[in-house]
Amino acid sequence: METVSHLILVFISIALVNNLVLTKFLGICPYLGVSRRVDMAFGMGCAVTFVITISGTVTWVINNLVLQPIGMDYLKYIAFIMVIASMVQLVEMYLRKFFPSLYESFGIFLPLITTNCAILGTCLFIDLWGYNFLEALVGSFGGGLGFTLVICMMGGIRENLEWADIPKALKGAGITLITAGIMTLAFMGFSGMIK
Amino acid sequence: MIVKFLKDSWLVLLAALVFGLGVSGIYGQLKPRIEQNAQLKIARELKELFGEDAMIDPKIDPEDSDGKRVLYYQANRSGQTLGYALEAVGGGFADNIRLLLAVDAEFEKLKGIAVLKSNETPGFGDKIKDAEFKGQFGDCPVGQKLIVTKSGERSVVDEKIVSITGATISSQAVVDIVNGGVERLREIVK
Amino acid sequence: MPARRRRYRIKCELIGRDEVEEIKQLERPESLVHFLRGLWAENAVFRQMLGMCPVLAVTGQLQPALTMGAATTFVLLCSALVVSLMRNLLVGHLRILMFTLTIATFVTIADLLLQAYLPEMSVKLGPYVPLIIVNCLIIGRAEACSSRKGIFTSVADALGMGLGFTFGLCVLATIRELMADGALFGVAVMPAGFVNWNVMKLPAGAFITLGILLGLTNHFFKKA
Repeated sequence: METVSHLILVFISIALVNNLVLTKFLGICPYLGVSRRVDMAFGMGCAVTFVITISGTVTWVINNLVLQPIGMDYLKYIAFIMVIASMVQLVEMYLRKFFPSLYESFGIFLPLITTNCAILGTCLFIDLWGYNFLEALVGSFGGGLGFTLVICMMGGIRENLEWADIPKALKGAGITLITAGIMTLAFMGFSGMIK
Repeated sequence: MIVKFLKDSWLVLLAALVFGLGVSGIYGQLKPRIEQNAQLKIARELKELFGEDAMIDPKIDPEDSDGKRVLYYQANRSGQTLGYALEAVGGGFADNIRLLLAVDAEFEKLKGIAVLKSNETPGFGDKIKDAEFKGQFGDCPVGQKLIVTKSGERSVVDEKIVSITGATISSQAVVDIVNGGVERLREIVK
Repeated sequence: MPARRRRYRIKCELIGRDEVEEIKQLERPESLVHFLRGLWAENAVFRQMLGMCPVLAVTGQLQPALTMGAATTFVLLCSALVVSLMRNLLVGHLRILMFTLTIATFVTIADLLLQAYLPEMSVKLGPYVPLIIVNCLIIGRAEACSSRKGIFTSVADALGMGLGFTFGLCVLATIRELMADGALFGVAVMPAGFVNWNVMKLPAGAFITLGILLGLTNHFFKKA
């Protein structure tokens, strides 16, 4: 029972309190680039969650069971990025072959994901925080869901911003960043949740 | 099949080999310096806590196979034991906090604490590094557990630690780590 | 009126001003054009909005921002050099993999160097150093420039982009450190009565400052 409640804490901590986008600034490029419409944002969010969960877990295994025992953990950045790149390729091929409809809906985002800092960032933070295997699994999934949550919220806000009267110079990225700033303040409300 | 595979990917394989070797070489060159940096940092903090002329003697964990992990530090001055110090880790507000805490030889008073690593909220929780908060731990009695209060006078030396406004959790975390650390240090040394 | 200016005037009247400017651009050496472009016209932070993650994350103070700028420039330069050297050997879909591998190698080296010579900065920047690997600026330059152009042009381009990026980081960090701590490089510069704006240190301050800066650049420098 204790492990379960602990895992729930890990999940909430990474999805809300230490949200990847809003407190760690990871995945800002898609956050600004793909959040124009909610459905696109959701597709991107799903793709990221999918890849993040797999690569978060696989890099944990490689780092803890292969690199650290042989004392080569200085090669871990190279190993991590290679794992992510090949995971993205694998997922893309697998989806195209077996789930064509799913591939249609978020497959176009997959190639973009290799250079999405949210993925590598999550792997690095999991390593930094010294998570165990279960925590890594739950944590990376939570990170992905947190990303999906904020990118969809941003999509919703931006759909409405289309109709707002914004100063010309702030249109596009400017107003999105300021909105993100205000959203961060709101998310700080979650901060006290975890002790 | 194999020939085609090699033809496509020889560059990747070669580059991986060359880059891997290169990084290993550089790591080998820099490793002593990196390890020395970590030790220097701890030595500097310890000198700050025990005084410039203190001799620091790291006690190695006998169970560690590499013979490298430090169990605790003992500070001496001209043959006399000044006190002991220990690295302690605990959960903070956002991330783990790593502290160095020092007590005197009789386990009566805290010598003080130093923050080795923290990732607390800037402007609030990261004030645990400021002398104003940290200084409260100097000369605190360690016979009883330290407690956190919201208000009070910081300059009074007692077991009450006045928390940082807006960062109660970080303050509580530091106090908890110190309390646990003192207990452990007492167990190890005795 | 000096002769050069008069010639310029006449040329403009004959073939139109834009064309004259274009010819002027073409007459310059390619490497110089690339170098200057990175500094402002295609500035990574203010114009292209590439590599936003470090721009927001490490600009709380000037010192880490400068370190990050230097590390990114180092990786940009080295990977531009290597990618440009092997540009004729790159094939199809393995191209991106090679870029990533090269960049990851140099980032690891930069990280080790930081750990050895600037340990405090290394702790402060934490995982944002390895995150240089996925800075889209670097892979973007590898794809757009160094995999097509010669060594000299690639290196000039990387230097320009790197300096432009560092400049962007420093602008943001100057504003944030001044308002959050009343200091620059950790040295107090504001008058004694200055009340720190704590929000500028928080993520929210980063987002809002960058948003307003982008608005200002658009307002004053946008081509009509």
